[in-house]
Amino acid sequence: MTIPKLTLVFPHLALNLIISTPALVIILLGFFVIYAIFSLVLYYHWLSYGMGNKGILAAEGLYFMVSVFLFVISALAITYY
Amino acid sequence: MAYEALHLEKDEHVILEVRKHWIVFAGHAIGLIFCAFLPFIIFTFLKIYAPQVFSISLPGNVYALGLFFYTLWLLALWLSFFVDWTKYYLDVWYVTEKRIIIIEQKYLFDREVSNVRFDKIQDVTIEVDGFIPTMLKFGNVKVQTASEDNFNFFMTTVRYPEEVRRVIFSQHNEIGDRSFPFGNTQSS
Repeated sequence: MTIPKLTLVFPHLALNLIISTPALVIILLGFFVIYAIFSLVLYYHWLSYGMGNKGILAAEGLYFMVSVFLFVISALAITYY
Repeated sequence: MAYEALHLEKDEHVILEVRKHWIVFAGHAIGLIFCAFLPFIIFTFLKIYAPQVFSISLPGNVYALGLFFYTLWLLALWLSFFVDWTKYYLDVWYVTEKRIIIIEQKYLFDREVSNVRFDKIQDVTIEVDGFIPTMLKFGNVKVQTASEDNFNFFMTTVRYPEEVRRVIFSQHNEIGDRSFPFGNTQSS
């Protein structure tokens, strides 16, 4: 008596997904708005309660430098899409 | 450094800032680093177990699209790291000549500030338990007060707890000496 083999067959995906540059720009802008709101909240806390501490100043600089860098990369990625 | 937000008295200065050790958010940071590599792990997993996913045809540059979404993912992780760091860094005790200002940043827009004058402090207890806390010099600090409800202030994972206790005790003794310059004697 032979045991039947169980084979899994996945459906073949061959869809043409349309992701346009304007859509990516809208996604980036929406993300930027949310990011800016949270950044303002963080900046408010650092300014109000940070007491001008060196750690806070270093964190501010690092946070904004890396954020700007990543946003520039994402904008460049859209131009190369 | 500007301490306007503390509303210190004229002759009052901050002599010590007590903060938690960086190890408290090391776990979160490691989790975030793992999340940063997660897209690559998922990509490898799909390549091995579901390669037909890659038959989806996209009109433009796939690598640029991947880079775009990956940078947004990194930005979200970066923001999460700094929210956690802000909570950690704004959790602080300011020790002045007259009191301890205890600030607990529970979350964003959720902050608790307490004051303990040195003449109200009964005892300061520190606890350094374990190999790593001993090597990295962090532990728990408890300040017992002489209030009606015997309220205690507690901070875990404090940097250099011995130094914290030494400063608090020295200020406490100084306040005590100023209150009773000739000793606390009673005439019969």
